[in-house]
Amino acid sequence: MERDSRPDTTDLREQIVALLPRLRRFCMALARDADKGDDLCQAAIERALSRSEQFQTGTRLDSWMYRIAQNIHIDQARRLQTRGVEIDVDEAYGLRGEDGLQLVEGRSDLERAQTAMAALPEEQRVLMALVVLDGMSYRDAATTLDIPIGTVMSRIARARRAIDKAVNGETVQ
Amino acid sequence: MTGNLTRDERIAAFIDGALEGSELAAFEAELETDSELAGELERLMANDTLLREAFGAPMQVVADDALLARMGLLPDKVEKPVDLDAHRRSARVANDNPPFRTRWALPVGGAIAASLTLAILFIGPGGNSFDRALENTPSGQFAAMDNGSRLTPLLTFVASDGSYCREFSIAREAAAGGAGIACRRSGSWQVEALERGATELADPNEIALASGVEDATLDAVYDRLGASDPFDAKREARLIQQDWSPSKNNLSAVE
Repeated sequence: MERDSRPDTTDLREQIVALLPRLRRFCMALARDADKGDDLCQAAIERALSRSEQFQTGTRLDSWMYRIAQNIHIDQARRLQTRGVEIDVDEAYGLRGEDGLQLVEGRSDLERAQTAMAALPEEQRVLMALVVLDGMSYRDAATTLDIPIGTVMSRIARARRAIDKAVNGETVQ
Repeated sequence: MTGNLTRDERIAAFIDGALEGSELAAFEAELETDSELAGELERLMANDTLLREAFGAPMQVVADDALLARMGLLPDKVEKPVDLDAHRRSARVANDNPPFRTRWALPVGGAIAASLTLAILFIGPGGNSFDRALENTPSGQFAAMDNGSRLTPLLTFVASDGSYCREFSIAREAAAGGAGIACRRSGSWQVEALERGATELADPNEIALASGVEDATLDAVYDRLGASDPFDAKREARLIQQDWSPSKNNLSAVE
């Protein structure tokens, strides 16, 4: 077993362990599947520990980790795209049962919410994960993703509208 | 900061606490009179709650060892000292050195005498006695050095740069001695760490100190070197036999 010969990462490890529940949730939302989310999470942690010197003490670890996870996720999605693989929304979060149709009919609210989230465009989903799931302010989300705050606001508004449509149907007003 | 917002953006910004000052006041005033807006706000907030619930599973999970291992977060430090100590113990049991004078009186003296002879036989010409001892002596056995100290390799591992390294102890009759770590680079053994007791017993003419050699605890040096787990006796014997060349018989430095 090879060991990390870089500066001691014990502190960073402990902080990541403390962050782990939120990080896993973020990755799950991003990857649209709990298992794939854990794969993503593991990859992000590995990259973070191998680049521990790039983390500036005193800055937000969550933002740094989320950014790493998102970068890995984008790379993976790009590779999948070039291979022509499309992700089926119904397969997202492992929701599809033996009888796909029946499942759609009887899908619980929670499953509907997960599916709705999975159906969002990448750039909206990541913001919903940061702001709605994780409770980040618009400002922090903008910093984390390095986008203008106005963009955060408009994407969140569109995402909420889409989620509402998916969860409550078109007719609700 | 909110400028000209759409209706949806204003609702979202209100939910997320991003409306401030007069904008916030205006929105709250609208809520009082506009029941449709109030209803929509309520529905969107319920959606948020539903989403948080739908993605709540990871928040309920306690990080046990299985999860930490899956995430690559189990510190190898926890395993390392256990492994090292076990190896050191077994090496020290094999080389349970009583003082020289009484050694030969012990029933096991013959076996130890044999291993001493063996060590001396292995030491060939070339290099100094420190190099030769580390080069040829299996862990747990000892070799006599030219200055009269005994060197006992305790364990063997590979560093992250691919160098083979050994922890050893140096002792002399009455002196306590101490332990050290040396790595084989370009055919000779460079000391990476040496405890004070060992320094006193080492021959300064013989020992090549790596730059920045540490007086720190050996564990810190293991960390710095990126040490592998210690080799088992068979693998170590193979390396000694093959003059520490990993290429022979397709032995790889990192298994």
